[in-house]
Amino acid sequence: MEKGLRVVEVSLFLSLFVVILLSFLPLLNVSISNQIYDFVYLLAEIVGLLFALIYALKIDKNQKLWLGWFFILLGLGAYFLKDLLNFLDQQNLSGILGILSFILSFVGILIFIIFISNSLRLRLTFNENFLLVINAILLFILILQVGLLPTLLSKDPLWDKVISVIYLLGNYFILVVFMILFLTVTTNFWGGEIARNYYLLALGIALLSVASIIFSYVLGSYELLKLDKIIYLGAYLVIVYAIVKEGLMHAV
Amino acid sequence: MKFPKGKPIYEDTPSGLINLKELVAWIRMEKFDGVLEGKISDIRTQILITEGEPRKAFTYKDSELLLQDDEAIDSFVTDAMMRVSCISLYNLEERIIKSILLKLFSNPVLNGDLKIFDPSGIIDKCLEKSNISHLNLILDVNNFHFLFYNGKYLGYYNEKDGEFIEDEEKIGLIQNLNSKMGYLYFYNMPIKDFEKLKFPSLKFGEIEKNVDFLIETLIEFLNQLITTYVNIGIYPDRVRKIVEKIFSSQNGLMKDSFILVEDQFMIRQNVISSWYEAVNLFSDFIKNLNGELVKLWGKKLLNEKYTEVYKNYYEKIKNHPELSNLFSYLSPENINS
Repeated sequence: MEKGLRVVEVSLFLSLFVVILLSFLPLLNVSISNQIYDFVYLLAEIVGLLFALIYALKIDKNQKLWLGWFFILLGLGAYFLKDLLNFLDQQNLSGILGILSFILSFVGILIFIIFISNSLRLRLTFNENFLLVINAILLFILILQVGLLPTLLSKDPLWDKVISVIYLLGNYFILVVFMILFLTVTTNFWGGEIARNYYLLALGIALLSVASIIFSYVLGSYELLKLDKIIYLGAYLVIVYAIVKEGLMHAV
Repeated sequence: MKFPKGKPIYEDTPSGLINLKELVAWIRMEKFDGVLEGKISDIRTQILITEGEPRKAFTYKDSELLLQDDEAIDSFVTDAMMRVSCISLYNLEERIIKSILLKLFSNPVLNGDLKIFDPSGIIDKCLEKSNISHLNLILDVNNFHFLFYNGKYLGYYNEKDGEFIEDEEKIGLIQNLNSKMGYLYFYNMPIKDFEKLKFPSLKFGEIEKNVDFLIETLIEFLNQLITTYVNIGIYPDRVRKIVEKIFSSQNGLMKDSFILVEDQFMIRQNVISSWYEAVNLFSDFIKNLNGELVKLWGKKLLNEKYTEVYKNYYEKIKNHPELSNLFSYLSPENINS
C-alpha cells in the first residue's frame, strides 16, 4: 500500500516538475513551441486523472461520502476535457466544460457538507455560521470589485460577458462551500486521519478558484513564465492526491 | 499472621455507611495496595491486597486463627452486607507488601532460637542490595516483623497492635535482635526471583459471583456501540477490521468468553467470574476501540457518537441500581479521557 502511494507521489511530483521546467526554459534562452508545452501539460493531467480514477474505484460504495468523491472525480474529468478542448482550439466548448467542472466540484463539496451536517448530525455553532456569513459577504464584495463590475461595464460581446459572470459566480460559490467544508472538517474531524483528505481536497479546489480569479481578473493578461498554468496544475494534482489518499483509506 | 496498619483511608467505619460493591470495584480499578479490615466485636478479618487482588486473608478472634483465605473473605463480606461490622482500609507501600508476601509465600531460609544466630550477620545479609528480606521474631506475646527491600530497612511492626514503625535509626531492630531471646524466622530471596513468584488471586465472595446478567447487558451495549460505529458510514469496513483486530489482540478471558460474528459479540461460555473482571474487560476493550477510531475520525466525532450511544443505553438501565452503578465506569468521561 505504501509502495503504491510512493509511486503516485513520485509520478505527480515529476509531472509537475517537468511542466515547471518547461515554463522556466525561456529564462535559459531556450524556447519551445506552445504546442509542445501544452501537450506535456495535458500528459501531466492525464497521469493525474488516471491515478485518480484507479484509486477512486477503491472507495467503498457503502461509504456515504462516496457520492461526493464521485462528483469531485467527474469535476476533475471535466476540467481535463476543458484543457483538452482548449488544446484543440475549441474555445466555446472549453468554456462550458470549465463551468461544468466548477458545478460538479461544487456539488461534490455540497454533498460532503450535507452528509456531515445531516447524517452525522454535526452542525456548526452560531458563531461559526456568523463567521461564515461575514466572510462570504466580504468575498462577494471583493469579487464584485475585481471581477463582476469590470466585466459588466466592459464592451465585450454579450456571450463573453455571460460566460465571465457565470465563471465568477461559480468561483465565488466554490469558495463559499470551501469555507463551509474547511470549517466543518476542522471543527468535527480535528486530529482524525479522515480530516487530512478533506483538507487536501478543499485546498486544491480553493487554490484553483483563487488562482483563476487572480490571474483572470486581477492580473489580467499579465503572463510571466506561465505561472498561472503551474498553479492550476499544482491545484489539479493536489485534488488528485486527495482522491488517491481517500482511495487508500478504503483499501483495508 | 496479622498485617500492619498502614496509612488509613478510613478506620472503623460502620459497614452500613459503605457501599461494599463500589469499594471492591474501586479497589480493583485503582489496583489498590494495602489491607482491608473488618471487625465485629473481638473477631477481626484482615485481607491483604496487592494491585487490587486479594492475596491472603485471615480471621482472628484475639490471636486465635479462625478462618483463612476464601472462607475469611466470605465471613468479611457477609458481616459487611449484614451491616454489623466496622470496616477499615489501610494503604501500604508496595515495598512493605512485597516483604510481607515473601513471608506468606516462601519458606524461611533459617529458623531457630535467636541465641544461635549472629544478629549483625543477619542484618548485613538483609541489607544486601537486590534482595528482599523479612525477619519474624516471636518473643512471648510479641510477634515482630522486620521488613527489608533492596538493601533498605523499611521498619517493623508488632502483630499485637499492628502499628508500623519506620525505625530509621534501626533502634527497634538492633535492640530486639540483641536481646538473644525468642524464636526467629529469616526469609530472604533475590528480587528477580521474587518477581517470578505467582501469588493466588482470591475473590470478594458473593459480590463477585452471579455476573451472567451483567455480562449480557454489557454485551448488548457493546453490540449497540459497534452497530452505531459501523452505521456512521465513514470507512465501515475499516471500522469492522479495527473491531476484529482489537478482539484478536485481547487476552484469553475475552476470547474464551465471547465470539465475534458479523460485527456482533455473542457469549461462547461465560468464564468471567467477577463483577470487576467483566467491567474491566469491557472498559478496556471500548477504550482500545475508541483509541483506534479517534485516530481515524478525530476526537469530536468519536466523543459525540460514544456519548449518544451511552446516553441512550443509560436511559434504559438507569432504574436498575446495580447496572447504573456499573455503567458509571463506562461513562464517556472515564472511557475517552
